[in-house]
Amino acid sequence: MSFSFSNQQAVYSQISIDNYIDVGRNNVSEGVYSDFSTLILADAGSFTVSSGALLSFTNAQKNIFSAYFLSISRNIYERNHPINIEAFDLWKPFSEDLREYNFGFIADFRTKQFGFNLGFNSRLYSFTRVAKIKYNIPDSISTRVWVPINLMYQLSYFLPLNKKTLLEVRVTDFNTYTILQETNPMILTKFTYTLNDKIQFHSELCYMQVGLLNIRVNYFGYYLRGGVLWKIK
Amino acid sequence: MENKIKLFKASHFLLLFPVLLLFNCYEDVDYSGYLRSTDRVNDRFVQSNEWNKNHPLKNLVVNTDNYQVLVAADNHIGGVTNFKLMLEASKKTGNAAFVLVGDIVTGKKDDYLVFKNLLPNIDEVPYFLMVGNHDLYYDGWKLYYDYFGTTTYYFSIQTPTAKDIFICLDSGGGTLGNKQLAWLKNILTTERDVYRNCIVFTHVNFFRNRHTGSTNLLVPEINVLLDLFVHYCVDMVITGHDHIPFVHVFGNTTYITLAALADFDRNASYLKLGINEGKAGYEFISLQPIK
Repeated sequence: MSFSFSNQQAVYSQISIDNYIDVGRNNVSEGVYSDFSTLILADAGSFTVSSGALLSFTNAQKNIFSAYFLSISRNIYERNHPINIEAFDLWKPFSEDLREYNFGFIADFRTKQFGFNLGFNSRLYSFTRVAKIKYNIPDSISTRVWVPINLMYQLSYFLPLNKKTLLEVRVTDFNTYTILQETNPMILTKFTYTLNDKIQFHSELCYMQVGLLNIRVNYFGYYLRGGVLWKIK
Repeated sequence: MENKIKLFKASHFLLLFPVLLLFNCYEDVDYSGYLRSTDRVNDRFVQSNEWNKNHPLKNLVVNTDNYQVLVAADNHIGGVTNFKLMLEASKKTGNAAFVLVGDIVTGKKDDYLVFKNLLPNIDEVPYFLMVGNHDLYYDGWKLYYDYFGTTTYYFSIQTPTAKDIFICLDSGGGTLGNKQLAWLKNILTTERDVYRNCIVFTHVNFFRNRHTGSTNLLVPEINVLLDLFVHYCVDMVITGHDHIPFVHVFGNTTYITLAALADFDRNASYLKLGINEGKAGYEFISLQPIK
């Protein structure tokens, strides 16, 4: 999802491309996994359209094409502060038989040191048509589960290390192509290095845990990301 | 004035933490869990597996094709009134066993002892247990393991014509962990075809039906399990944790979240899981009807 860099998105440019690679491990990945993402962001006045796709390579999942993302966002100004409002769709064919579909809205507000994102998503699980036939599921049986509403949030602290390098520490329940439940925040640190006005390198380390609020904090997984944002003028 | 405004804004964020803490303000919450866990699900799985090796898995035999299993969640003993009612019901003819899908006690030793002393002779009334998050509070796993042993295992019920499998999983830590997940995949791959119905029990519910501080398995883990249960034709997944009953039918699998059985729950109920004419069905048995 493009929320995290929608502020740094192409204010000066019309099109940006963000490519990144994740390498990680978690309780369900059956070893190390890697994800490859390409996101394209196009500006049109105060609107930005983002579209991206994720390829996943893991022992646990047969589908290589594992997510598609589409959003439209708009910058509005409140007391000279830009607020980015975004509507998005996220489609995840996470298995041969099942799909996860998310849609929602999120607002993004940033000061010099802090960033705040707040929004919600709705999640729908469904069978594919082929799977309904494969498992002999009659039309009378529900093949969808709707999880009506989930709070999305992100709290970021930005620390410029020098003119070109920015450190960010973030607590959030969503990131790129994953939206977790509101009770399952993850913690990540991100470095952004601006090479010039066209190219930015970024890397992040994310720790995922479970059970924060009423269970007991337990390890779930981590990933390391490296990517480059290319602003095409 | 500007400083006061800044201070006011900062105080809002400082308030956030205690508000989160109070989100689940039971007196029996072990707040140290916000920072650490004293046991890990992978360790619990290894211990459970070790215990399973030394204790043969149960195969109950019933002499009729139709039978029932009573299932309850979130007893939260301390209070025992509702648990005793379910216990009495479980002794009636036609009930093959009862299953408690976690949060049996508060995690405190006194409550573990109260529960242990209430349990019937397992050969007369078979019962099957697994941990929930509350059972693990206050280092509760050590007590659970000492008293009851395994929390990850399966058992079967043999009727004159078929055999059903019941798989009990440990989600008390909010995740199955990679070892338990591998075990589950192996059981489904090697054993599923041998059995007619397959029922999975675990504490933490899969789908969130409302805003609550009650935590769930992470979305990537839920996705893996949903796929696994579709692929291996799991008939029912029975959970607790949320205290509010809910049923989701998702293809050939029915996901049931049980109400709490705890005395303090105004809408306490348990589930009568019935196998009739070879098919799994259910009925909620309310203990204190809504007024």
